[in-house]
Formats: sequence, C-alpha cells, structure tokens
Amino acid sequence: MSNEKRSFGNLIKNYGIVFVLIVVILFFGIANPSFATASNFITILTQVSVVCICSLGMMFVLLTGGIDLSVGWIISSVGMISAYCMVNLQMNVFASCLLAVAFALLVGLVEGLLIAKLKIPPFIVTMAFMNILKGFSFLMTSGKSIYGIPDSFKVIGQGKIGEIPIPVIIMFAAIFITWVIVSKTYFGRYFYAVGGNEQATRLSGVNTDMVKILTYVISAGFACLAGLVQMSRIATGAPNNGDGYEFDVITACCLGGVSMSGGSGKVYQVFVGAMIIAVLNNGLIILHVNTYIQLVLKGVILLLAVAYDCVQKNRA
Amino acid sequence: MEPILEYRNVSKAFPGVQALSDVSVNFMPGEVHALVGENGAGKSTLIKMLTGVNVPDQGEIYYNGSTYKSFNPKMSRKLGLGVMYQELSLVNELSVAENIFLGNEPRKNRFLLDRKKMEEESQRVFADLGVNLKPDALVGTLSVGYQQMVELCRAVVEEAKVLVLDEPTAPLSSNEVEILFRFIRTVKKKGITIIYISHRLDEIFEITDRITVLRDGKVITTKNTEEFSRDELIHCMVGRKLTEIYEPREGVSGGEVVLETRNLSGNGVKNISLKAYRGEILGLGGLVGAGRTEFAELLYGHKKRDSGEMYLNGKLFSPQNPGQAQRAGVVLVPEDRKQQGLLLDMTVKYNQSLPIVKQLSRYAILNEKEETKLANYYCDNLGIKTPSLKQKVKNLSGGNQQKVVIAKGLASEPELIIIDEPTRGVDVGAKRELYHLMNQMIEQGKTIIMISSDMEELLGMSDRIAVFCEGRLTGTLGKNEFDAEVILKYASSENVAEGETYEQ
Repeated sequence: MSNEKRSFGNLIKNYGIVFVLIVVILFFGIANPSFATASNFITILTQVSVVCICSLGMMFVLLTGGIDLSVGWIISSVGMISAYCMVNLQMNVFASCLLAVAFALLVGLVEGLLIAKLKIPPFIVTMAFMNILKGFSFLMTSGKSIYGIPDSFKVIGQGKIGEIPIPVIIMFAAIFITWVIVSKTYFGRYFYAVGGNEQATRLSGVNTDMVKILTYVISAGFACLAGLVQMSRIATGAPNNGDGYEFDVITACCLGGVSMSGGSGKVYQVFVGAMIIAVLNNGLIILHVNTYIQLVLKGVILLLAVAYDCVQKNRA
Repeated sequence: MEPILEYRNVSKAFPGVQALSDVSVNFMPGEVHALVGENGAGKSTLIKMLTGVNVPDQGEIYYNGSTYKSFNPKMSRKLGLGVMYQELSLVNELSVAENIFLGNEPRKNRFLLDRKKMEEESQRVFADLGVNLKPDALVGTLSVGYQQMVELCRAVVEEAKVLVLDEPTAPLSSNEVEILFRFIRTVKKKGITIIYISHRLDEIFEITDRITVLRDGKVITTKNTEEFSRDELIHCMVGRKLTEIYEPREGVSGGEVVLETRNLSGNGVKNISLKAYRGEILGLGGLVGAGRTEFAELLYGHKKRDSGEMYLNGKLFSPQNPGQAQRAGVVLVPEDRKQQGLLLDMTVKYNQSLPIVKQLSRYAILNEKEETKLANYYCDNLGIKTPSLKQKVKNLSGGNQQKVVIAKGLASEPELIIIDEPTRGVDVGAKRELYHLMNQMIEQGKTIIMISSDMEELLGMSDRIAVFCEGRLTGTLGKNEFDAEVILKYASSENVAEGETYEQ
C-alpha cells in the first residue's frame, strides 16, 4: 500500500513494540512507586547498555539471514584477555583493549570465512565458537577471576559525564553509528539485500560473500565493545561474565521485530527490544519475583515475539 | 473403444493471457499420446488441470466413466492419474521399496511394518515390468534414470490408468532413454495411457502413437504419428506469420566485435566459439537445457569456466564474479526474475539502485536525491507502471517486474546486455513494450545477447541466431538464413558431432 492511512491501527501495527514497552513501563510504575524514578531509569539504561550494544552487532547478522551464538562468550573472552593483560601482564590499558579488539575481530573473521566460503551453517560455526571461547576463557586462569583492574579502565563502565553514565553514552553512540551504517551508507543496503534474496543480490554485482563475512566481524566487534564495558562495570575479569548473553541479545532483536529469516529490521527496534527485557528484569527484581520465574517469562516472551513475526510473514 | 480421458471444450484464462481456448482432445486406453507445441502453447496448463493446479474456466474433463469440473492432488492420485513432473518426488534416504510404498506401507499389524512383504511386492512389480531395480537399494545412490523408474513403478503400484510424462528424457543419457522406452512399451500393453510431453521430435516419432499439436492455447490438429512427416509437424507447431509486434530494425551485424569467446568450456557447455557485434541482437536458440543459460553464466562470471578465453572489445576478459563483469560493462538480466532478479519485499527504487548504490555514494554515504532522480528517470523511460517508487516489487505485474530487472541492468550503463528469456510470463502488451525497449538499447549502440525459447521472438528480434544443443554450438544463422525448421534441426541432437562447432 503506497498511501497507507495514518490510522491508529496502522500505528499499532508498525510501532506495536513501542506500545508494548510503554505498557510494561506503566505496569511496573503502577505496581511499585520506586520503579518510575529518574535514577531507576538511568539504572535501567546502564543495565541495558551491554545487551543493546551487542544486539546492534547481532542485527547485522540477522539481517543477512544468519545467526551468531558466540557473542556471549566473546564478551567473556574479551574481558578475560583485557583483564589478564592489564593485571597479570601489567600492560598499558589502551594496548590491552586493542589486543582484545584484535582478538574479537579475528574470531569474527574466521567465523565469517567458514560460513561464507565453506558454506557451513552459521548455527554450527558460531555454536562451535561458543564452546571454543568458553573453554578458552576458563583456561586462561584455570577458571579464577581476575581482580585489581586499574582505575583508568574502570571509567568506561563506572564513570559519568554529568548525570549520565558512560556506558549509556557509549550505547547511544553505537546506536547512532549503526543507524548511519544501515540507513545512510550504500553498503547498509547490502545487508538487507543479502537477507532478502542472496542470489539476486549476487547477480546484481554485489560481493555477497564479503557482506556475510563482514556481518560476523561487525557482530564480534560490537560484542567486544560490550565485553569491555561489562568487564569495566564489574571491575573483574570473570570467565563467565558473558554466559547466556547470546540469549538476551537474540531475544532483544526478535522482540524488537528484526526478522529471523533476514531482510528486515530497524535500529530503533533493537533498542526497544533490549529495553523491554531490561525493564522486565529490573521491574521483576523490584517486585521480588523469583529469578527462575524470570527465566520462564523471558522464554515465553521470546516465543511470543517470534510467533508474531511468523504470523505477520504468513499473512503477507 | 471408449477414451479413458477426454478434455471437452476446456478454456482457461490467466490475467492478460488466454492460456487455453476451447480445447477438446481425447486419450485412448493403452496409447502413447504426444502433446507438442512451443513454450506457452498451453501444454502445462492443460496437464496441470489433472492435479488441480489449474481449474478450467469452462468445459469439463471426462475420466473413466465420470465427468469432472476440477481435480485436486489427492483425488487424482486415488483415481489413478499419475503426473510425473521434471522434479522427482522421492526420498533419497529411503530404499527403493520404501519409496514405492511410501504412505501406503504393508503392515503386519496396526503398528509394525511388513518389510519382507514390501520388498517381495516390489520385486514382483519389477519382474512384471521388466525393470532392473533392487528393492533394498537407497534411492539417493541411483542415477536419475533409475530414480525416474522408481517413481514410475510407484504410479503403477498405485494402479495409475493415465501417466503424464513431462519432458521425461531431459535429464537422461541415451542408454537411460532406451530403458524408459522399454518401460513405456511394457506398461502400454497393460492398457495404461501415456501422455508424453517433449520437445524432442525424434523421440516423439519413435515412441508415440498419436500426436496433438497445441499452439496459442488451441488444438491445431490431432493425428496418428505415422500420418505426420517431420516437416509437417514443425510447420504445425510454428506455422504463423510474425505479427507486427516486431518493429523492423536495421541490424548492423558484422561491424566491430564486442564480445568474442574462443573454445569456451565449463558449467556444462563445451567448446563455444562465437562473436557478438556492436549494435546487434544475437539470439541464442535451442531447447531448454541446451546450455544457453549456462553459457550466459560464464560470460557474467556467475560460474567458473574450465577452459577457453573470452574477449571484450578485443581485450582478455575473465570476470571472477558478477561484480567484475558489471564493472567491465556486461550485465545479465536473469531468466527467473523472482528468484534471481528481484528483492520482492523491497521497493522499486531499492531494487533499481542496488547495482549502483556505490557509484551514487560519496564517502560511503548514499546520495538519496540522486537515487530517486535516477529511479524516476528509469520509471519514465522504461514505462514502469507503479503507483510510487516506494511500492514493493512483489505487488507489480510480471511485465513491470521484468522492466525493473532491466532497469537494474541498465543502471550500470553496460555495453553488452545478456537477456535470458526476456518475455517469459509476460502478457502481449508488455511484450511489445519490452521489444521496443530492446530496440531502443540497440539504437543507443548497445549489444544484446538474447536467450529465447520462443521461436517467434527469436526470429522476430534477432539479427543473428546461434543455436545450442547439449552444451554445444551447433549452428549460426544470418538474418537471411532464418528458418524455424532449420533452427529446430540444429537444436535437435542428431546434429551434434563430437568436437564440432560452426561459426558462420
């Protein structure tokens, strides 16, 4: 429909997920007065930053029709590498971070090459890397956590500019950069095109293998950024820092409306999806809901989000 | 004798096309009856009515004592109407016997499979039909010919009375064709009717008893096979004047060579040497699967060549991927616009600009104003009818979709455009517009290589025609030598000799 009316129905259809977020916020706000305070919102934004940054990277992979299960353990291994360099090896903070970034990008590159060139299913490649990186994270210190992170590094996760925590600023910067890439640059088009119809895209003269490889490098890069923020926030290099993050990240993307079959998804949707999870986490804790019930709820929400996506697809 | 199956005054229209008009044809028990005609003559439309894919607008189908307005797949299977499409519907991981009895397995009791009985039954059927198959062999390990045989045996086991074979020999080797023919002769004696669709005239004369010729959705004639001569049959299939939808155009074959291939092999084509001249439409004729599309894929760098060279404007040209070919000035408008040409869920503008978004960008940032301007230019110029540039391509008609694919191709300002089946699934009006567009491209000094299985189009649009058969170039015709019968002759296998190619 080219001239869709701006009716309320269409607004709900197109921005339904935003309304879900508003409803969830209203619910917790009414249920508990200590939820709807400025300081709690800043807390939520800080809490969401790691998942959101990582989800932005995941969005690129999902747009091309792939999936990246390794992000959680990239977060862990990147934290361990940088902590190990800073503390155990007494390396310069900047150099330590750079090393961690190089490591993550290399992992993404290898994943991408295996997926695009050898045509191994993304699910398998990234699941294998999930295990490799998990083992690697624990092997580094035989499973011990690394304490004594230098103060200069703690700023990334704990510092503030005015009232705004630095992780929140990093998150919005990442959102902005992602938005520019996907909606303003020419190669942003390629991610959607590969997910929409890979063969037609290749026949249009686009190097589709390169696009696919790039998405895993980008995903690993964003996961690395998320990992550094995470490690700095808790000021500890713990091997299981990022355990289970892949689940929250994929849920955030799905919930927001990024299609699991590729070709569609917007940056704001990823942010809103991540926010819903964070608000639920925060609100349920404030309401003293059992952690295991929270897990059940998250699983149900993921199913509902994907079911909605599938129903929409079948109708089209 | 009563016919087993009869179409009575059947008509069917699709948007923009009268696919069948008032078709009446009958099929006798135990006969092998050929349906022949060009692409788009209505053969598949007719056959697809037997499985309910198409429902007649008018008329009825008589079958085995009753008349029907329409069928559905389950019903036709039950009634004994077996339609074999080119894609086989077998499970590779199961054995021959398991495939034959799939969904219909003999059981010892309510739950347990009677494997022994299944294999014995299969063995009995194979012996009966003279087929050399092992019931316990895995289907995936068989050659295509034997897989086809499994599917045919399944139909016989399910007591089919009519078997439709749609281009059954296309994937077969000549040995396998012999085995198939032996099978056909055996089941024929059992009173089973075979409807045989093929472009290969040799086979039709060898195996069929009667022939029905379809053209433009009408039955031209039905006669016993021995009453036809080869030339007469070709004449019936093609025989019409080229109408005024082809504008006269001054071809300039013989000038500057734009593209030349020398002994190009790979991707299923062998030893192709041909030239395309600036400002001409070089038509590639031949049967479906003759290697024309495969040849085009080599030119466009979509598939890798094994040996031989390509030259573009006299310079060695060896594109590793479509992107390189495009930058060198060669584009391909692919055969299957939905699978290969378009992003159906994206907008008209998005599709059009995809090949050139990089060129429209500065510091990687896409200039959307330029993009819109260009999209508008192509929409006006090519006459793409769309309510807006933001319309999703899947909502456009076939003809307009095809124009979007062409616009995509033109966007990178190529010198050589390869168009694979330019008007497939497009109505007559849009056809004329597409031909007009191709003529315009020629006037602008571009060169077109057109692959077409539509004889009329091939003769009407080309300046020269190169004919392919089984991966080889079997002949090249200049405009004054154009003759449908000669082309069909070159396109049929008898002219293929090992290592032989012709160029003018």
